[in-house]
Amino acid sequence: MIDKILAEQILTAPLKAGASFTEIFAERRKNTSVSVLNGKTRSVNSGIDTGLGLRVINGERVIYAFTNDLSRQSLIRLSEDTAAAVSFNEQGHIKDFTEKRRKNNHNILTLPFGVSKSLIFDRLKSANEAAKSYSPLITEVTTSLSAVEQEIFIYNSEGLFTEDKRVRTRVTVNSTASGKGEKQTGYFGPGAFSGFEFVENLDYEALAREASETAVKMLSAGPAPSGKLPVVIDNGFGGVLFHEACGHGLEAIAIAKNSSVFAGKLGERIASEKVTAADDGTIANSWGSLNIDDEGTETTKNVLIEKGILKNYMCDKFYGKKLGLASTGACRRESYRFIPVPRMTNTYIAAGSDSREDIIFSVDYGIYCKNMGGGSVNTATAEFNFAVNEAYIIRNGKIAEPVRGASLIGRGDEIIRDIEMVSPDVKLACGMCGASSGSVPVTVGQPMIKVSKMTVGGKA
Amino acid sequence: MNITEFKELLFKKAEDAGFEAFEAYSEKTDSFSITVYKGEIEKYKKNIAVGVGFRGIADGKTGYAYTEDLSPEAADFIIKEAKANAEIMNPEETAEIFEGCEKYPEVLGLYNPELTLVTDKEKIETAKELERAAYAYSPKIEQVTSSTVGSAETETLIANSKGLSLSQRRNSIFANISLIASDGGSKKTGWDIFAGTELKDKDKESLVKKACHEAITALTAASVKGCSGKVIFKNEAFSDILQAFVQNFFAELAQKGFSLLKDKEGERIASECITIADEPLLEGGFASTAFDSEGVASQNKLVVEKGVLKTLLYNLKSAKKAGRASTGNGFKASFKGSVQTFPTNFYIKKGEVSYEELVKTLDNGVIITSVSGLHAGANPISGDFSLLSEGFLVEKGKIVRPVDQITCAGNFYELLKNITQIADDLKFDISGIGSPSLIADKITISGE
Repeated sequence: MIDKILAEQILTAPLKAGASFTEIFAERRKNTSVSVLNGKTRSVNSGIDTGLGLRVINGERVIYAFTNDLSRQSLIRLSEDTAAAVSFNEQGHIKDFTEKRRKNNHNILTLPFGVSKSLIFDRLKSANEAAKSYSPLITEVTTSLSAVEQEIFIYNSEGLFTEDKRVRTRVTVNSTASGKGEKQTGYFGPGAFSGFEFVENLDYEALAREASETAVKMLSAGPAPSGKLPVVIDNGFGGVLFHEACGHGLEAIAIAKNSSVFAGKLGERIASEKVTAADDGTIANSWGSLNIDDEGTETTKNVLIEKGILKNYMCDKFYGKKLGLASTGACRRESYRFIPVPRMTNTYIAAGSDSREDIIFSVDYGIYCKNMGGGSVNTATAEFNFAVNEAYIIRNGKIAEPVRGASLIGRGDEIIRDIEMVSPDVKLACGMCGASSGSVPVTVGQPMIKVSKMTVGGKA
Repeated sequence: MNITEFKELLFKKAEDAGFEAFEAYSEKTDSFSITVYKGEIEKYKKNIAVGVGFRGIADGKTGYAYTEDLSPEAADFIIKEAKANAEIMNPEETAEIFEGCEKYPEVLGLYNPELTLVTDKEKIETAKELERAAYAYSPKIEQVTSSTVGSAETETLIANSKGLSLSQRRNSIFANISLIASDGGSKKTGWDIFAGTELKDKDKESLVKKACHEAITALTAASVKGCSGKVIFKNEAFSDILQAFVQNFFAELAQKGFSLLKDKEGERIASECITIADEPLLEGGFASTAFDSEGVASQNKLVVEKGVLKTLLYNLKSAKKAGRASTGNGFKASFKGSVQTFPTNFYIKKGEVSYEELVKTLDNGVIITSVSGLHAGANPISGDFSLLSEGFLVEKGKIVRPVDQITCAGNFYELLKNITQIADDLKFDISGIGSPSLIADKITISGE
C-alpha cells in the first residue's frame, strides 16, 4: 500500500524534529452487510474504508494524524504537520526495515467478497423463516450478516515492517414477540475470525429458533425482582460481567493513569480463589483474535488473574513501558482513525469445579441469568452495569418462572470477590466493545458462575 | 481525485452500468483536537477525512455502496457492488431519488467564520486553562484525567441524476473535561462537554464547575432502600432516556412493526403536560440543518402536542408508504450508511416551574441526575429500561444526600403517560436531544 521509501520519509520528519518513535498504520478494508426482515431484504451495503494514521511519540506526548488521501504529496504534508507539533525531546533514529512475517493462527477458507449476494440472502432468509415459524407470537424477525476483509500495513521507526489480513464474519438474529400491546425481544449474534465457512458450519436456524424462544418466554414473564440477591450467570455471553466489572480496569491505560481500582495491585489478591481469568488473542478463528495487534506485536495468552491473585495487565508498548511491563499483544484500534490503546481480545473466566446442578441447588432465592445483554463500566470507581435479556427466578434450589427487564449493577472490585462457585463448562460469545480507540470485536466468556449477592434492578 | 472529479466519474460509470437514477452523498471533515494532562500536551490529533456514498436504482431496486478511496478502481468497485446489492434488494424498499424542493430555508448558526481564526495554539492554551481551573476548584480534585479542546469543519454535498445539487458547511468547537475527585476514601468521577460555534468564558467556567461539582458532591453517596413511585429525572438524565427511545417516533420503524406508536397518530400517548418538537431550523441547534440527506427541505414540527401524537418522523420512503409528505427526517448516519430516519433538535418543551419547586413538589423520593449503560439497559422495542443511576435523596422537599448504586426501572411508553410536572430548565445534549427536568410516577428504584 505504501512503499518502503515513502514510509521512511513519512517516519523520518517527526524524528528529526525530536520525536522518539514514529509509526505508520495503513489500512484497506472492505465491508459488506445484508439485513433481512420477515423474509425480505431490508438493507444491503458494502464499501471501502482506507487511510493512513501516523503516530508520533514525543516524550509523554502522542501526536496523531490521519488522512484517506494516500497520495505522496498528502502523506508528506501529513508527516510535516506532525513534525511541526513535536517539541524537541530525544531525537530518535530510523532503523532499516526488516520485514517481520507474522505466523498465521487462523485458516480462512471462503473470503466474504467471494460469496454471491444471493447465497448470503438465502442463508439469512432460511434462518429468518426458522425464527418466524417458531411461534405465531413472533411478529418481526431480522437476520443479518456483516463481514470485513481488512488488510493492515505497519511500519515503525524501530525498523518494523509487517502486514496482515483479517477476515471476520458475523450473523445476527433479532426476534420480536408481540401480544397484549407489548413487545419483547430475543437476540443472538455469533461471529468468528473467519470467512463465509463460519456461516456454513453454523446451525443458524437452531440459533434463530432460540432467539424466538427467548422473545416468547419474556412476553409472558413477570417483572424481575429488585434488591440484593444471589445471582447465577450462565456461560457464554455472561462473560460480559468479567469484561465490564474487571477487564476494562485491567487495561494498562487505566492503570498508567491511576484511574483504575486495580492500579498498584500486581501480586495481590483481588478476586475470590475460584477466579482464574485470561485474555487470549491467539485462539484459532475466535472473533476477538488477531495474529498481530495494531502495533504489530504478536498476540499472546495473558493470564490476568490466577486463583484470585492479580498476575498481569493488558499492555501495549506505550502504556506498558510506563508501567515497566512488556506488551501482551493487546494494542487495538477500530481503524486508522484512532490512536491505539490496550484493549481486550478474547477475555474469559477459566473453568472451575462446581457442577451446574450444585450451583443452582445452592440458591434458596435468587435469579438465574440465562442470556445477558451488554453493559458498561467506569474504571475509576469500578461501578458497572449490564443488562439481562433472559432470566428466571431460582426458588429452593430450582429454576422457576421467567422474569424480565432486569439489569445488574455493582462495583467490579467487590463482585469478583463475591464469586462463590464456578462450573467447568467455559463457553465464549462475541460482542463489540467501545472505548477511546473505537469499537473493536471482542470475545467474552465464562463457565456458569454464582455471585453471592448483587443489586438486581427489576420492577417487582 | 477530488470529490467533484470522483463524482463525475462515478455518474458516468453509473449511467454505463444501467442505473436509472443515482445519487452521490459526500462528506469532507477537517478536525483538530488537543488533550492536556498535567500541564502538558498528551494527545494532539489533526485529521482530514473524505468519503462518498452512492445509491442508484436499477430494475426498480436500490443499491448502496460507499468509499473513502477516490480512485477510478474504487469507482468501479462501488458501482459493481451497488449493482449486486440492488439485485437482492426488496423492491418495496425503493427510495425515491429526489429532484429537490423549490425553496430551502436559511438556517442560522451552522457556520461561524470567526472560528477559523482561533489558532491551534489558543486551543492548547484553553485546554491547559480548563485543567488548571479544575485543580483550583477544590483540593478534592485528585486528578484531571483529560482536558480536551477541539474543532471540526464539515462540508456535505448531495448531487443526483435528477438535477439536485446541494451543499452545506458547518463548523464547531468543543471542549470536554473528565476528572476524579477523592476525599481520601471514596473516589468519584465528573465529566462535562461543551460544543457550539463559539466557546465563551462563561462556557468554560460552567464546564469546569459542573464536572467538579458532580464528582465532589457524589463522594458521600450511598445506596437507598428500594422503592416505587415518583422520581425526578434531571434534564440531562431524561434527555439520555429520550435519546434511547427516540426511534419509536420513526415512521419507518413503526411501519415495520418495531414501535408501539404504530397507528397512534392522533391519539393520546403521553400525559397532557408533554409537548415534543423536532426543530431543524433552531438557530445554533446542535442538529440544525437546511435539508435532510435526501435533499428534502427542513421544517419545524410538533411531534406530540399536549400528550397527543401529532406526527411520526418520515423520510421519503416511509412518507410514500403512508401517502403523505416527508417531514424532512431522512438522514444518513454518515456517508457510509443508507438513508434512515433521525430526529433533528428533538425536545420536550419546557414547563413553568423551577427545578427547585419541582424538588418541593416531590417532597419525598429520589432525583435521578445521571443514567448509565443505555445501550444495554434500555430495550427500545419493548420500551423496558433498568439503568444504573446516580442522584439525590429528597426528604420533606429538601435534598438530604447524594445517592449511588441504584437502578431506576420502568417502561418508556408507560413513563410518557406518568409524567406529572415539568420544570423550566430545558437543556440539550450535543446530539440535539433536549429535555427539562420532570417528575415521573411509577418508577421502581432498586438499591440495598
